[in-house]
Amino acid sequence: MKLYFKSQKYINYSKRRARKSLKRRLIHKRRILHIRRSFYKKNLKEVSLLKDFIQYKQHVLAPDNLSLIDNPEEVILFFKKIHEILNNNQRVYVILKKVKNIDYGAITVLLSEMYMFKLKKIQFQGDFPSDQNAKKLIIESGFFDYIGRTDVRQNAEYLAGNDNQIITHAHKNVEPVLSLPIMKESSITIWGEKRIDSGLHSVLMELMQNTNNHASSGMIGEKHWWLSVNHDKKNKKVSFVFVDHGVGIFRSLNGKSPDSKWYGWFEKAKSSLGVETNEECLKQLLLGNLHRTVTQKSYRGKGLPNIKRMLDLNRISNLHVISNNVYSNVDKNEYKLLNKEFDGTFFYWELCENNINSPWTIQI
Amino acid sequence: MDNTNIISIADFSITPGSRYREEGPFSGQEFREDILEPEFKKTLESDKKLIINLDGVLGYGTSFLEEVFGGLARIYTPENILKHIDIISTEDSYLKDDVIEYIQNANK
Repeated sequence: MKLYFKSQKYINYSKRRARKSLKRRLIHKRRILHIRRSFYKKNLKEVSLLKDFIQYKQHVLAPDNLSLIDNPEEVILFFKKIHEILNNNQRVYVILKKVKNIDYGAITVLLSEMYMFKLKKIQFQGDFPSDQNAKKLIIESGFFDYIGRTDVRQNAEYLAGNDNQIITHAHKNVEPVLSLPIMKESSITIWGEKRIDSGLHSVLMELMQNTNNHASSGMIGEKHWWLSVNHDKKNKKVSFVFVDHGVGIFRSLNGKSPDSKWYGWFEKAKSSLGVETNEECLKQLLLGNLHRTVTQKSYRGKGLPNIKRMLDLNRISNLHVISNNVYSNVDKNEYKLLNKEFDGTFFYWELCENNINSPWTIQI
Repeated sequence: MDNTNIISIADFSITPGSRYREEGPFSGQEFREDILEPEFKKTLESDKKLIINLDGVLGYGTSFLEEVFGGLARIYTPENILKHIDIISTEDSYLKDDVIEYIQNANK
């Protein structure tokens, strides 16, 4: 038997209830519509893949080869999609199920992206690769040490005894003491005893200094740098990844104010050095020619050329650089333009047995 | 009579840092202002030679060395610096050439 309310109080109450009920039904309808649209024209396999994260409006599928070194175009596109979702303040589900190959570079960048979501208090979820080797690499990389954290320690710390770890620093500072434990453990992995390879400390100082100097203020996560250290004891090699999400080398140069010596840098470089594209500019930057040509100051701008010099002096190996739309395998003198821009700067290098080193003369 | 003074950067830090104090610890500015400049002043007054030993550290960023030696040359002139200092760098011999270049190009 339906009740009819005659008094105004209950009529108002009934109207409010009806509005709320309608609102809930409309939300539910939208959700069902979203699910149906997501499943539209998909086969059973794809539907089962989607079911896990259907509550997330935004999901991003990682490429099979999630390696920034080997597959920069697809991987950068993958990270760009994640970054766009972050800029829209939406939660995201990252699908790693189909990943067959992953490297520490991609893991480090993925972690840095996840961290930016956490800083904005936006949900970031994902799954594991089905490939067991890829899954193992992610677990052992130190990635999950940061999953539950939103705080960033005041000082970057290297934990002795961990074969793989990711270190970060939020305050743009240069942390020179970080090199000591890293050098100790890396030299033991590579040469079986403590040795000094001066290239490691030099490169770390140049990169931290660059992030400090060129990451502009205001953007969340931009003052973080991320360093990943990974020991390969079987091949007596230690690999390093250094990432920052600043504006990148070329955007930084393009953004200089008219009173800066770098203002109009590209035109100056083009007329003096004949460079026409960003990949040619990166090559000249690493050689030290660009800074001298553009600013006329020979006593600054030696950071990037020094990193290249460490490679040439065989203090480091296998150097790769990605910044904005340029990818470079510096070791092989390969420089190429990318279709999509990487948001920030990425460096990868290795220390291995045949790198030049000297006896450990330090009293620690 | 001993006409030289020796200072070793390793006594300051085995992990030399960046250029300026505000960028982080063990900076080139800190070493130059707190250690090198006072010693260099004494060297000038006594007409001795100041020897700076670069060995015994993990390595150098270019900004550290430039701020130390280039910074000193911007205060005392490159000619004065080159006349009164010597550099020891047996572990990474190329650093000696770097330092001389920083001194010579300090005002360029």
